[in-house]
Amino acid sequence: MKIRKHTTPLLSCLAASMLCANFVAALSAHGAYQKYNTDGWGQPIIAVLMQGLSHQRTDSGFSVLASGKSSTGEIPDVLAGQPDPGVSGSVSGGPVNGSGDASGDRQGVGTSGSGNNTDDSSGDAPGSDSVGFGDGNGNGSGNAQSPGTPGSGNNAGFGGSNGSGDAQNPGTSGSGNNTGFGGSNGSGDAQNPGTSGSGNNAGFGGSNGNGSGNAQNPGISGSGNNAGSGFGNGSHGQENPDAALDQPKQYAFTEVTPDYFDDALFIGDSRVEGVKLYSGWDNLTYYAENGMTVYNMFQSKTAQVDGQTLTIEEALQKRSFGKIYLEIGINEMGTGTVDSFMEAYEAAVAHLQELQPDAIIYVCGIMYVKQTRSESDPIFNNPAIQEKNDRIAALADGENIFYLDINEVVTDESGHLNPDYTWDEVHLLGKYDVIWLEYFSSHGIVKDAGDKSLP
Amino acid sequence: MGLSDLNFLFRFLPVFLLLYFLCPIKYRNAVLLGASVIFCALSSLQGTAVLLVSVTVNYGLLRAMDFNQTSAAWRKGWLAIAVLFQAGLLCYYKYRAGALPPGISFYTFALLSADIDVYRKEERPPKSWMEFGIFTAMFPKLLSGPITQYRHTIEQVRKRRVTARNIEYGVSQVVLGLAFKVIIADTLGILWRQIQTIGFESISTPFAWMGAAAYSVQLFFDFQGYSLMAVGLGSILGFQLPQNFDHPYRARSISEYYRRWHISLGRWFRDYLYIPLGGSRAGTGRTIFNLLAVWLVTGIWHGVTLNFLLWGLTLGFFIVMEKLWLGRFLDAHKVFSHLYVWFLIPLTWVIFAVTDLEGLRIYFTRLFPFQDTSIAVNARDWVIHGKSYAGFFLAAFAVSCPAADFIWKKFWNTLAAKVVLFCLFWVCVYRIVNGLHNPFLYLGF
Repeated sequence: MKIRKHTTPLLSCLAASMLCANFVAALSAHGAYQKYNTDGWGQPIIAVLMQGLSHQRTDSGFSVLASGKSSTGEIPDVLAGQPDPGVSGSVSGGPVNGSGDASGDRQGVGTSGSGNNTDDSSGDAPGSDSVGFGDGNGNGSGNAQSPGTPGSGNNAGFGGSNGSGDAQNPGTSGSGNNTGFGGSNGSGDAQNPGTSGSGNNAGFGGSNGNGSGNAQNPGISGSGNNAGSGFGNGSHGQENPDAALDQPKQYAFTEVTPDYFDDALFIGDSRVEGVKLYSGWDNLTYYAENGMTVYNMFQSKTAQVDGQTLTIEEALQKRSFGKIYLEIGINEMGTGTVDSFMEAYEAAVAHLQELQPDAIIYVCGIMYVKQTRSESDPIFNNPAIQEKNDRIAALADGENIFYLDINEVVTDESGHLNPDYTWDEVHLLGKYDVIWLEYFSSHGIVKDAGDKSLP
Repeated sequence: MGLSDLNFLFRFLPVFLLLYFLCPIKYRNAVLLGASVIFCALSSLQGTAVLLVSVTVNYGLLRAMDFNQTSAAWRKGWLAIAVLFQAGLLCYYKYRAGALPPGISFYTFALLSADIDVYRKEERPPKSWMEFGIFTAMFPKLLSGPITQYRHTIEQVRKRRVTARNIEYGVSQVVLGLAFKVIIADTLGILWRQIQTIGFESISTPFAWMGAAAYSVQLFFDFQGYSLMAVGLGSILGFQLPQNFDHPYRARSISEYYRRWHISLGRWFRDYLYIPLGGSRAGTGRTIFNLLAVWLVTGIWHGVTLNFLLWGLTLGFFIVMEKLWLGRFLDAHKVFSHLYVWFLIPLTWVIFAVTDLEGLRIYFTRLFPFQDTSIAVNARDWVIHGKSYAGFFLAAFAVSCPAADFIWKKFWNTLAAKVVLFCLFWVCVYRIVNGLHNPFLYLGF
């Protein structure tokens, strides 16, 4: 076809397509791709559409499943890594009572109903007690935190009829009594990640419909009483929370030899890729890919099994491992919230356990970035990373899931990634990648020996 | 805001083009100048102030020079003030201040060319502040050139013809330039970043060579892509800006390479420095001195660290060698001369790229492993990392072939070419977004 004089077909088509694409992008920014609409006016709206398209291409069925969970109102069936009979009762009770809510958290911040937040207090002085109530007919959230380092704290969070109770006592030492109550549709959440000392934690999920109780005490030493319970309506009635109390075996870290890693798998993003290529340790199996996210990891085609390249999902069905190390989370920093990340992360860990029930799972804290990066980047900064790491750390149960924080050995005195260890402010230089495995070697869990288990 | 930013492509440019073409012709220059000032201000407010002060001061000096133009001494005096002011400003910002105002390295040369052209009475001084402002600061060439010479450009500021064909050609060049930059340069740039992320101690020798090649290709396509966009935008507005590149990797000597690379800068140095110093007509010793002087200044202009000096002097050395005897040898040996350029040029770009001398030493010991500086090298790294880049090297090679020129010249205005360019544009947008929003997905390692 001949191009006629005095016309500008390319310019016209580009202009028209840009107009249309902007229109579609604007629609999608309020619809399907809403979650990418994070930049405000910083970027043209087209960015939302392009990001959405890109994620649609790389996202896996798994993540679609994971996000589907929240919209259909099911509760992720793993809480604190321990499937709890009381909780599963509540899950089955959910659909009976009509529209279930994914978590009390969401309802808690909702605007409908007469929400009543009587208290949202945080006590940071050592030994302070705090209580947060949310009650009434409607949505409320109670939030109580006592981040006092030493000393004891008594924390309670109560959620109303649609509400969440949230109590945290991240004291490093000392005792804490934490209770989180969720009302009729709600979740109770209690955490006491204290490293030593005793903590009594209880999370209660409400009576009607969906309730989730979440209790965690990843303290390495000391005693912890954890209870997580959810109540279903009618058939379950009031259940004695004490019934759900259990005291898991606790294991402590120990030095291990390199052959410990013969049946170990290291899954993760570009940082793990670096360890794979430059640590010089090749007895481990690595399933690593640049840009791997917790949303797409099982679909990542990076696993070499018997000369075939499989997705991690397929590979884990074929091979079994004794230990699985998971380091992931930096690529997800730009998308979603900490909650949505953790939802996917927990689902991923649960799926790992499902596929490899006998493996010890090490969840690794996300490695920090260099100070200059951290202080200049609104997304990739160390406070945001630490926020995620705190939540990842809370997944540890001392029995099957353990938390490892590489930042203990790669940061300088300012608490950021050591500037000598990195060029691009994010990844370790090749010659330092071996630090990861040296760190793992000094933080092994050996289960066979009964004497390793703590009282 | 660069020319390949989404904010430029999806906000600034459409709004500007609409305003510009809806405006009556006599107001278009005002729209262009206003847009250029806004363009600069979007990058840096302080830089805009520096730009406006530079334009105003030079404009004043040119008017003053014109006041008594029959007196050579009068003109020379004002020229000296202009050169001292403008070069001093550039040096101040290069060596003293933290941030360089946008485009100052480039518009300084444009302003100096105006000062010198008027001093030499090759062109009349600008008639108005506005036309001088457009000559200096028009946004297509503001950030990285091409460096226009006053006597070639000022007439176009006053009067230019816009045709549908020029617009269409300009749009095609913009898209092609964008694709060069976003698809080829930015991707190979990742390879170069990877090498730095890994650390020079931990790369194998083949990977080191691959890195040198990647950096060379990246630099070329980045700058060439940018220049094409600038020339294309100029063409849409009716300007004929000079091309900046003429297939440098087809050169058969370093001197020829630099006649084909960043042509507008080379021409500036030739016209305003090398020839006034006597060029090559004042004896061998003087020629060598002049060449080294030009390359020293070129090196200093490119950056403040020592490696740029080393880079300029290395090039100066080879160019002097070629002038003395090597050139004749290269002329006589066609294959050797190509290999000579393809071997040496990437090495000089490594000197250009690695700004700390210790790093440079390590990189060269990886390129030429006579001394072992390696730590934790993965011997297969060049296969592992290289796999994903082979296609981009091939693409870079393909579009640099003579056949590609032929195809472009013959077919750029056909429907097929337009479909291809249209798709390229959207591929670029997709890549810009997904690189930008997830630096680790994109620059990850």
